Amino acid sequence: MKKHFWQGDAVDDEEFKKRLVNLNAHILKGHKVEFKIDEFLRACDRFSKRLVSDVALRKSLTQVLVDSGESNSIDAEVAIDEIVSFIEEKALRTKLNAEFGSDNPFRSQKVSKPRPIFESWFPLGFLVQFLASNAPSLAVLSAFEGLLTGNINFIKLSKNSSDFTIRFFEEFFKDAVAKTWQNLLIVAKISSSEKEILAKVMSEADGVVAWGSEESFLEIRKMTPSRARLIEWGHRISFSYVTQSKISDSKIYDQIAKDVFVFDQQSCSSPQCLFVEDASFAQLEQFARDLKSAFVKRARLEKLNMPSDLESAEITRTVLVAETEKALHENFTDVIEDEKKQWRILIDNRAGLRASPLYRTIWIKPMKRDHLLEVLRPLSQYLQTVGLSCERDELYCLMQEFFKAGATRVRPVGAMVESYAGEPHDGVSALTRYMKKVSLEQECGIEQYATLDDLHLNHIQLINLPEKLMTKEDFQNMKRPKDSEELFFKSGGSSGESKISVFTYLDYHRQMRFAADGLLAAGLNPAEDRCMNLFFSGGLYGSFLSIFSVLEDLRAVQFPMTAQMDFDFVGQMIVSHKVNVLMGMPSYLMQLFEAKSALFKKNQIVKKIFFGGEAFSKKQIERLKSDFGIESIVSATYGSVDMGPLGYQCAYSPQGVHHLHQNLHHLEIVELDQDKPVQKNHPGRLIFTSYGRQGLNLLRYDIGDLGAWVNEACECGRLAPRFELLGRHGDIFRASGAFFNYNKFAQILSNEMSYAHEFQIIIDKDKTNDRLTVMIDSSASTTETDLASYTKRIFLVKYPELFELVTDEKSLELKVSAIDKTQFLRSRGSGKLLRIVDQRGT
Amino acid sequence: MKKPNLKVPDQKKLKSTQELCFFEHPYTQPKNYVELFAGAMSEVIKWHEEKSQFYAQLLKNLKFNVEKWSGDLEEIPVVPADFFKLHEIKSVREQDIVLHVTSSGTTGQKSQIFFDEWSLGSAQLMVDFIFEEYHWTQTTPANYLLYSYEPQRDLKLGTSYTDNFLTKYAPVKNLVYALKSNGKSGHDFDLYGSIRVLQDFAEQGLPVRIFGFPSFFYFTLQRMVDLCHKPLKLHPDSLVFLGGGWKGYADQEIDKRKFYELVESQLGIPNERLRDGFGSVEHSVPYVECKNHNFHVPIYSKVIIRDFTSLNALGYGKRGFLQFISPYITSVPAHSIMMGDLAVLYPAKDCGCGVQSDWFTILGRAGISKNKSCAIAASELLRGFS
Repeated sequence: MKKHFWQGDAVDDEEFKKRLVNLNAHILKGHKVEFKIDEFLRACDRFSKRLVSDVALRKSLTQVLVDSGESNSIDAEVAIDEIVSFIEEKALRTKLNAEFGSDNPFRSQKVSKPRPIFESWFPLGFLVQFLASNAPSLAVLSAFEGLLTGNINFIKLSKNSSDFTIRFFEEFFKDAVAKTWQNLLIVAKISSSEKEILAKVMSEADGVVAWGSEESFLEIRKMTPSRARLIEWGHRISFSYVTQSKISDSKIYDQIAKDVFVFDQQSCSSPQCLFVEDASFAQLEQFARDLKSAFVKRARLEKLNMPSDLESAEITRTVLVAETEKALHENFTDVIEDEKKQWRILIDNRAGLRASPLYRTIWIKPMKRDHLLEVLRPLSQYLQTVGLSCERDELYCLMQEFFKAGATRVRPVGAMVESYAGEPHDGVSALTRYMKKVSLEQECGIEQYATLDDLHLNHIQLINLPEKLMTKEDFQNMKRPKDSEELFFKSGGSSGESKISVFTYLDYHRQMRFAADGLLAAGLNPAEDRCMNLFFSGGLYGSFLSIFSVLEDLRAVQFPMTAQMDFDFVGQMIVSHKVNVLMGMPSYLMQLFEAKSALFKKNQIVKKIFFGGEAFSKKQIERLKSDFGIESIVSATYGSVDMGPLGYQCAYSPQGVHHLHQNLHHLEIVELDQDKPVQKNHPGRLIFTSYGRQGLNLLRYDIGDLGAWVNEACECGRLAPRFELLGRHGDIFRASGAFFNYNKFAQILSNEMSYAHEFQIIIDKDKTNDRLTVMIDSSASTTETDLASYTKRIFLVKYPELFELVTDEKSLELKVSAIDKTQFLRSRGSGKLLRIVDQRGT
Repeated sequence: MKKPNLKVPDQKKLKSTQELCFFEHPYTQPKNYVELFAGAMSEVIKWHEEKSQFYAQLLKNLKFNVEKWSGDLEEIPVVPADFFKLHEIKSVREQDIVLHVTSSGTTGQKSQIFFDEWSLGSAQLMVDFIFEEYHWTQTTPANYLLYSYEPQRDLKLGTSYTDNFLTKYAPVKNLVYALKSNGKSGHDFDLYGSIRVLQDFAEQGLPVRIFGFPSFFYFTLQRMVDLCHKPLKLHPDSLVFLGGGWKGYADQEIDKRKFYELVESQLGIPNERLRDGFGSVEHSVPYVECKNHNFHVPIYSKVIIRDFTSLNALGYGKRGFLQFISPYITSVPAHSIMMGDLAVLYPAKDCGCGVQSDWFTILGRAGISKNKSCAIAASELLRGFS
């Protein structure tokens, strides 16, 4: 019989023992697995969905539990549902974020400003997990926690466990991507008395996870090697606590009944005991009578599981002792028991905490607030949940006492067993126990690195991607769950209706984290730089806020100015506060430098410019450098409102060349006219797929940009793929049947005329023919007397397709107008230059 | 064998009790047994009702009137053994207490039971009768290996006391404790010392008597096997009489039959001279295995098996709570006591050893199933205190 599951194979006892001999080699195999959390989360999500939709699979898993007698069919469904919601990508990310403050604990992160010190979480290694068989889903969930943290897991089940866990992971690893992690899991059904096997397994352990009773821990502690971290998840006891002010609140009785009845009181957060503060025996009896009515009501509502013989025996014994104790003193104990023995209330005038034999059996006891700590503290290691009912003015004091005594959760009565994603487990963040925190400092040219993750190529396998590309329109039409709508930003819509992009804060902060990394790579030095944030703000624009968050994240000095039109003030602040870094949109920055040209020529304080939103031309860059002594002008980030940061420039990136944020997105470059990958470094459309956006599946989004792969290794040492931006899709327009590219016009202006200003193309119709009007800045040149006609001549000479249509075919009219820069058409909100204005439709 | 000085604390009030407990044949019913037993029970119920305020109140609460009692043993109110773990209850004066015993506690709770001279003596007398019955008293000296705690000042643990007095049935040549006092109010198990002692005893050739905890005895034999020691050949009249259970080593407990096979093969003692005993501090009547290794009920007590839920008496062949009824105890109202153990009762004929009394088997203890709950169980919680 195949009863174990070894790195993807179902194996029998003999094969299991054979493999055990070479356990070390199998562990090394596990270490070779390249574990990528984003891939893992996606695979979990796929499987979660499969567990819902694949009826046959669900049925067969349920059957395993039912046939083995491990649970009835209802509980089996509940167990599977519990797994389904646990392994949803969103839930896992929330959990990771709650426990590590990030949904990627593996990421190495620079932690100190000037020195190249990096920290990250790292798997413990070989994690031996001892599972108690008290819940069918527990072994699976615990295995997932071990996998999620990148460990190589040995799950020890009891010898007579069902095949549920094994069957579950056989199915999980059928997924093409998940298959690559099968070396991270061994599931073995062995008896605790098979000491030799356990000793062999334990000798390799880097971490040991023990679920179960204190008794079982004793043996496990003995076997745990000193190098291994021992993580014990022991049984716990919970209780309810009602203050005098709440006794007369009739609601609480139904709520307490709910706590006692749910899960047959088997959960460690189910109350076993209920303390009524400062109660007399008469009050306890009255309380019990009121509770009795609630129990009677509740018992009628629910299908109740009855205890086994041994459990019944325990209940009977406990009741018998309480009955007998009645004879000791007056007002000492009392018992109210259901005739059908479905529940019982045991009244006991002694203050101490008592464990209940469960199955809807609760002790009702008095407690003095002053004695609370003294009575409970000896049991601190076992305490877990307090179901509390009190007034607001009592809360702080009680909370202090409970936590001092050792409790780790205080919840409302009626909701004791409920929990939330990312909740601490018995006082600790569970996942952090399965990992170790590591640090690194090196001086080998990584000073500008924000993370060491880019020192290797993170190639994420994406499967089941749709063939159809996603358009801006698709993006806008995406349905997103209400609970993932937190932050609204305007996204495009320069002309016509505004479009909106919605984020969760988690998404936003993750993206800003990456944007910050990009900025570091691009040369920002948070230890010394003094930065002025000159991006536009308000009107739902994201740029100013994003940069604010990024600088805050980097703990950089910041002057949150926004794109102020009071250039005198801006200039004055820059000079008087020695601002050496400006961050803003090229069009704004150009206006600023022109307006305060004299000031900045005299005070060459600004050394770095990080721009975004649009591009500087080569000429503009040259001018800024030569006239104002600016040393570095690079893009702050390449990104879009919809997708967040996509790429970044390092110190070695030529203009337009970016590294991909490989841990945030997957990039494809496809041909202009068909959706297939480009050849080598041919230009094409940039198609991004984003990992882990909450509530959004951003798969193959055609962002509208053009680019080409840059295949040569980058001198900066980062292996994150590189691409060169080649303008917008929108930069390509059709006129008189042919395609034209705005960037081509820009290139000609820059190369042939050293034109370093803005320009705009307006397309309209002159009777029948299309007409292009190129608007250029009249202040651009003083040497040419007729700038417009000179420019037109240059275009016709340098742009053959244009020449053909304008001169040969005469199907297109070309005009060049030199205008004052204030006359350029701009986006109302952002002040962005509208590069192409198509007026043919109007 | 009768202790000349032993007598019930009140000859008039406990006449039948003394008569029953002095009956020398533990497995043979005397004439008028049913009446004698009921009479003795009636006496002891009255005794406790008179001496114990708690017990009088209990009878009142349960509306049990001993004067109107029919003699049906099932009707006698039962006190759970757990109750004595929580409360000190006495039916005799402080000065009449000769022994105060604390049970070694399977689950961490310590039982406190008090004995007056009669209660202690009558239980020991029953052991005398049983040893007689099985012809285990001898005059030739024996060597003793006791798997119990080496005595030290103020030791109140019950098993040690029992094993010590068991040495009176054969003169002592050598006596060695396997659980040696370490001088710091604790004990250490001397495994290799025990092996050496057994080898030594084998050489001496005298009958050997091994009493005490089965667990440590088993560890000794298992280590001999692990070390490939040559099996020993102890004197065929040697006797192994175990008791006290596996206590903290329940997870290593092995099947009784396999255990006996191991003893036979390692020490050469015949299977029928390997016996286990069942008893407890709260109920001291000895239940000793017959040669077929079943616990027969001596005439001094009665066993009732009760349903887990309803507590109704179940009769033969059904698993339930184990209740003992015996009039022997005057110091504590533990004359009708319900144990935490689960058991099944069988009629004498189902054993076949020839002993003419009912016998029972133990099937574990009541408790929360560890397989189901992650809520803490009482036993575990209490360990926090012990």
